Amino acid sequence: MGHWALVKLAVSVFPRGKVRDAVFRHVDRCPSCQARLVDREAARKWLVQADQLSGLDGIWPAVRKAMDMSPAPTAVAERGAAFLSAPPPSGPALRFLRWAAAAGGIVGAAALILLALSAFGPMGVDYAAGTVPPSDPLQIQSASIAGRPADAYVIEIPEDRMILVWVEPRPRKGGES
Amino acid sequence: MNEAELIAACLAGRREEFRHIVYAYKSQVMALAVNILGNREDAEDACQDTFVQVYRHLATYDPARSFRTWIFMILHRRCLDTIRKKKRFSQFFQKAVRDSEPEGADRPGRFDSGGIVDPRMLEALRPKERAALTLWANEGLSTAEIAAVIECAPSTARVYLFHARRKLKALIEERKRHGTLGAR
Repeated sequence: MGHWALVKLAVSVFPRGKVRDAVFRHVDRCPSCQARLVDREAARKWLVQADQLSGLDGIWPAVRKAMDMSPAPTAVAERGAAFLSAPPPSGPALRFLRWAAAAGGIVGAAALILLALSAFGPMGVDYAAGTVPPSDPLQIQSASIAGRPADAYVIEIPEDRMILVWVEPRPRKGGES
Repeated sequence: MNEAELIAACLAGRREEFRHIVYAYKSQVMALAVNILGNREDAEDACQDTFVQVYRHLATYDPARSFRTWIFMILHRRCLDTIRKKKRFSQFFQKAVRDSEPEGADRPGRFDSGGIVDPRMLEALRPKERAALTLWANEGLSTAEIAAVIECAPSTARVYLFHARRKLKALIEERKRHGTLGAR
């Protein structure tokens, strides 16, 4: 595997953590990797620059018009401050709020249970023939490339709902690949 | 008047002072919007919306943060909203076209952006990658600042920038192979 391929793979496979930081430290120092990344000057040629844009005089009148129709920023702040400084509810209002919160919690929990059951439970599961149930990890029993034995690596990235399978020829004895 | 004084003036109800903020940032905001969205018309709408939002939420701005980064963050959100809306409309439109066409007829691929950004770059780079690249190359922002604008962890911003730089380099190499030099 070429080292650039490894770098790309590592950046994609390790979404966070020390491994990726190490990869980026390598990229920052490695001339070969840097040669595969566009530099600032070259990137700027592909991007629209602020000084290339003209005819922006219409923005302020349009913004001004919209501002007239929206509340002043202080008014928004005052509403927020008024909300924060309002005395906490008490008496019947407090009792009602407590009951409403409890009822809302129960309804929410029931909805979550139903959702989970429909997604994973017997109601919603209908595996087609030959598909692997999600609880079984993907396993590769054997792999070969052009008739030669190969090693297979399975990398699961649950947060991206992605499975990467890497297959490479098994090195022959004596270091030859 | 400096930036802090302008903000204070706007908060004190002097709306006209906001003009100075718009004039100071409109070109940078517009350039970022064009680079993310790919066309001027959408960029102008996003730009105007952004300034209106900035004005409306000025009281919530935290002076400990960079004002420029805060404006860019609001713009970035507007741009992503625009892209989402266009995508939904595009899917609806393409389905309508498909349904009305006889089988085997030539179908339009994707919407013409009518843009001023190279369409190959628009196609190759995802919106967050375009944002990261623009903030890095045009504005000289650090990874941490880019992360603040696109609202992710600095390491994630670094990944966006890495992929953007890698893909753009590949595009440039491809152009060289086909014998055409220069971006635009």
